[in-house]
Amino acid sequence: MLHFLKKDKLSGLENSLSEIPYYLPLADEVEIFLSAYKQKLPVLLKGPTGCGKTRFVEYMTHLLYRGDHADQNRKGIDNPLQTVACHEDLSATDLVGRFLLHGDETVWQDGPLSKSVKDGAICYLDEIVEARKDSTVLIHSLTDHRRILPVEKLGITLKANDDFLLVISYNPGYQSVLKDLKPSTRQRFIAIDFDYPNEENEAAIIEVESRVGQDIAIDLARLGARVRRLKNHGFDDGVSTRLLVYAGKLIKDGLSCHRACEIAVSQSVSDDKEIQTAINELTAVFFPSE
Amino acid sequence: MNNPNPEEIYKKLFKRNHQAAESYLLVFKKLSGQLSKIELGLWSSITQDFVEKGWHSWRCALDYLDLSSFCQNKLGNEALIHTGEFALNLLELSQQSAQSYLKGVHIALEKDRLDTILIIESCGQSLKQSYPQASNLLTDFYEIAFQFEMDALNCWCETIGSLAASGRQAVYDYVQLSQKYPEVNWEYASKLYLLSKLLGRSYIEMPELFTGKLHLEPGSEHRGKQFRKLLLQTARTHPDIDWLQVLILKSLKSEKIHQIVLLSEDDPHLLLALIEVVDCLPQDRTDALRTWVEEGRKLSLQNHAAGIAFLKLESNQGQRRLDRILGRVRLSDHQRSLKIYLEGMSDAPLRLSESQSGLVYNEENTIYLPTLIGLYNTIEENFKYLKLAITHQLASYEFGTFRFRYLDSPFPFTHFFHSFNNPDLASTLFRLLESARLDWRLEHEYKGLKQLLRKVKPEAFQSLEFDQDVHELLRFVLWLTLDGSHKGDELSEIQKEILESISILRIEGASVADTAIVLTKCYTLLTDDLGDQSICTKIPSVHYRGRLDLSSSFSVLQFGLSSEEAAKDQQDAEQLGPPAEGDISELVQGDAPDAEGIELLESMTEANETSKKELGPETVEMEGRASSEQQEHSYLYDEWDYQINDYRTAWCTLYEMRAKDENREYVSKTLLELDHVSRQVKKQLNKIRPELHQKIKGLVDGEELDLDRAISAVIDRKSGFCPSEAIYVQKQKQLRDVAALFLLDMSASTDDVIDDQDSGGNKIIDLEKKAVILMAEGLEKLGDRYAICGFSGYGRDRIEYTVCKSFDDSYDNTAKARIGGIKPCRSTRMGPAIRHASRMLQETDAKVKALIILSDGYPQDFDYGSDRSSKIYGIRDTAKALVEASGFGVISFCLTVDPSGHDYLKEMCPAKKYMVMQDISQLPTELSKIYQSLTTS
Ligand SMILES: Nc1ncnc2c1ncn2[C@@H]1O[C@H](COP(=O)(O)OP(=O)(O)OP(=O)(O)O)[C@@H](O)[C@H]1O
Ligand SMILES: [Mg+2]
Repeated sequence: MLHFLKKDKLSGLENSLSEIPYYLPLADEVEIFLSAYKQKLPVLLKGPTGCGKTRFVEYMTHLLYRGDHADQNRKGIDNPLQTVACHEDLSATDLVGRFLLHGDETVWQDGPLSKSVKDGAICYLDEIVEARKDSTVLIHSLTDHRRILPVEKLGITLKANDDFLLVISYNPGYQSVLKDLKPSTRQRFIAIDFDYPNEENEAAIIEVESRVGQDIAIDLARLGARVRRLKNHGFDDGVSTRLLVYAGKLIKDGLSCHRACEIAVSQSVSDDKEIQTAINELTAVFFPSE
Repeated sequence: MNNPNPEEIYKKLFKRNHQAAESYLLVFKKLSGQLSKIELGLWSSITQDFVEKGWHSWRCALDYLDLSSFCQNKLGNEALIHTGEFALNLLELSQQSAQSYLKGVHIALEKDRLDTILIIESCGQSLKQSYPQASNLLTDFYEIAFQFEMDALNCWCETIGSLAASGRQAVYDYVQLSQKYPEVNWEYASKLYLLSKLLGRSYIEMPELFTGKLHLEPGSEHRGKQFRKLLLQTARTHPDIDWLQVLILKSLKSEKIHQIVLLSEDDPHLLLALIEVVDCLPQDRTDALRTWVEEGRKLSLQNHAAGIAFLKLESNQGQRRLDRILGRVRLSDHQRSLKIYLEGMSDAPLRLSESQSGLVYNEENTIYLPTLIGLYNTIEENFKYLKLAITHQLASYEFGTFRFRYLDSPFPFTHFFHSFNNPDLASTLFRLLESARLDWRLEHEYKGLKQLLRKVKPEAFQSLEFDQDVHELLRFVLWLTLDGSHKGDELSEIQKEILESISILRIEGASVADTAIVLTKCYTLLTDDLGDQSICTKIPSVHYRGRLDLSSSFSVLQFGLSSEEAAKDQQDAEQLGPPAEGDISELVQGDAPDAEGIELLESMTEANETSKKELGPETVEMEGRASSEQQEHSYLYDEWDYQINDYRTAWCTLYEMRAKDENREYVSKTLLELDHVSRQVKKQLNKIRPELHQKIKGLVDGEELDLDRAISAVIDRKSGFCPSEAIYVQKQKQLRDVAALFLLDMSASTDDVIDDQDSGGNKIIDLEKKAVILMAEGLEKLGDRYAICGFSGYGRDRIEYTVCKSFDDSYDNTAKARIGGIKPCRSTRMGPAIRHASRMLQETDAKVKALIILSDGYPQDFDYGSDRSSKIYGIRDTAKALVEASGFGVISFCLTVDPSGHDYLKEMCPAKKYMVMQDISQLPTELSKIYQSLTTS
């Protein structure tokens, strides 16, 4: 199965995409994304942290630009995925581009957004709500029928390449009222809802990603599900698949299950000693002490 | 006196009594070589006096003559004369006393206890001086006194000497008692006797105490404890009696404990403290205890009171250190993490609570656990054990115990058990087997628990104590359910069959229907062998498994089950074999929610068990009042003792209750009377009505530009600095999320009339009430949540916290009547009331939590610290309680009408968080101002 292929190099992948990233589809998200791409509909990925949104975009990019759904045109694009991690100080300039001083001259440099608009790549704005409002407004014209990006500083307007797609992500869990997406922004995207996989799928993911034994992977997934029940204790998202994968990796590397879960799960999700104790006890339910 | 003429005396005597006369002549001859003439004369006249004193007094003469030669021989001439004269003296009182004295002397001579005679004489003499008429007493006294050896005699006489002061009857009782228990250890008994006099109680009814055998006899343990308690009480009130401690030490049973206690021998206060708690200390952990006592001793060198509180287990530190050293686990310390663990393990809305009985059980969505677990020597093991107990309780929900169906009955368990001839046995077996199944399911599902269970099960079996009558086969079943090992060839045929049928439950995925099948088989096997009725079902319960509550209303809850699980149960039900006993084939299982509700039948079979059930934790129902409205809930609070620089744990008991007194007119009268003030208050409170929108400046995004900031940003940019982007203004909604609690001092002193011409003859309490009423009226308009409570009490064991209006109550006629009914009661122990108020406020989860205390003086109670006249203890504890409250996000304010309030409020409250009302009539308006400043920031 395609999905179970192992992806070896996590880093550097955005650019090279030489290998197919491992992604286990959880529902119909792959089909939806494919048709959204075909219809040039911007995509909003909703879901808690570490549930596989980034991985999904990487996987889809590979599928569309290198894999079964790629065409000649797209295969020629060097950087088919431009990922921007949004933060409070991210301004429109950071996305669109800026003049840089180069000796006595000023040289224009494209930002990731204009680059992908030009190239026909996928631009992925991770955690869009973190970005400043001016940058969100910027994408309005790109995400309706016009598909244009005004570059004010150059006084031009870029018309998006046919292969271009804007994908944004958003974690509804910990947004404050202040940082909600404006409806006018929101309603320009189709939304795919992500959540943590069920125990079975999560176990499969952990097994592949961390290469830990199946038994342990299953128990890690079950532990994950238990910890996620503790929502009302100040960590809204529960434990992410990412953390469970980390735990698996540590165990694979020879750490005891208890210690691995302590480091990757209980310590990571909370600073509250009592919650940590409770999670460690949950761990001890699944893993005997050595 | 001249030479005696024996013939003449003989004649005189002869006239009175022949025998005496004969005897006289005989003894005279014997003595004539030994005594001088003068002495002989004295002796003769003494004898003559005896005979002539009374009608029957010749008997005394006989006694005297009887011992004369013996006495002379052993003690010498002088003593002989002395004895005679002493006896003559007694004869003045009564013939019996003289005779018993003389007989006594004779015994002493025989037993060679010569030196006791003088002691007895002097003791008797002083008795006689105290009670010159008490002839019977003296007779008895001499009769018994000569029985003693020297040591015992000394103790005995000493006691008599002390008792003589407390009355003739006391001495008389004592002497009587001494006659009754001749084998008594007098050293012990005499002290004990004194003690009972001191305490104003009599131990005559407790011969085993009196005889000092107490601590040697088995079964006297309880009395021993009682007695020790008493001794301690006395020792505290009579520190001057040094032998008390010796006595107490003697009453300690175990040699090891004795040694531990002796570690603090050099300080009697510590010694007493330690003895007091000795019964709560584990007797078999001497090394650990030694460490703990050493710590207490060290502490006492720095702070004596703290050391005592430590060893008495009254201080927080003392308790904690002991727990730690012994590895004990206190539920309250781990309740939160265990609760979180519980949430992780199950979706069920379960609570954890302390079980008063120390047993594990569940009831109405609450799992009850022992408050203190010390089964193991380490915290870790004990904690794991506690966790296991919780998990086992959960397992019955997770693994579908309550999805048991029988004939579509609404009470499937009861019906099923009653299909057997001996329902008790069926029910017992079911619980046993079902618990075992749950454990085995846990083992299959959770590897970590498997490890734990494998460790705990055999230990649990070890600690079981079986009733004599429990049949061996039943014992065998229990053994199997705890993974007891067995050798095939050692088993009987029946045992083998039982073993085989139970093994079904070990299979992964076994369901409650399997339990029913196995039960039927085991039941048949057992009763075939023994008959239906004869089986004793009193098997001990396995502690960590607790009691499986089959009548639980909880069974209505369905959760945590995958549909596969349910489907499997369905299959199991269909597979149920041919009818064996009862109509087991008709056992039906399904998914339909169990509508058991209040189960009449179920509760019938379990009536005897339910009667044993305790009331909910910390709930004391008041006599004669059944409605939940009138219930008193009790809470324990720690109290800060500045002298030991530590909390005294669970020191105060606070009773939360609904106000009992009502006054329906009070509120409306007040409003009429204070109409103008009321309007002022409302106006004041109106000011804090939130502006619906508030402008927030300095945002990176917003509807408007903030001109100032925009300009400075431009300037920054022009001058080459990095400009701030936070130049926008936004209007944001402001919601008030306030909870306020008004805490009224209901102490007796609030009954005082205010001497102030403006007061209109109001009492302090009236002013408090009126102020609060006006506030309530205003707050109703404002829409803030608020509660009104009062406090008073008497001593640390009874702090009364009266709720007139809780946060959830509406301000209706009942609430108004309750506020109107507030009356002055007793003392002012503020700390616990503040802690409780703070707890109520925390439960509201409001953003702003305000506590407003209205009082009339410094905190005061009769047992506030060791020094009654000192105010410091109360003030420091109150201060601590306020600090704790602020730690929980509660802002507090103290208002007092006590003009001298400045002195202590300064120490008690944070700066600017108190106010002394100069002009009391201003209270209502001041209160609203304070409220405003507290709740708006
Ligand atoms: N469906 C999945 N298939 C394969 N791997 C997955 C899947 N879901 C989660 N993972 C694993 O979880 C890890 C975290 O996923 P990813 O980084 O995509 O999360 P994310 O949703 O982007 O989180 P964040 O919101 O924090 O950026 C991945 O590295 C991968 O190991
Ligand atoms: Mg991501």
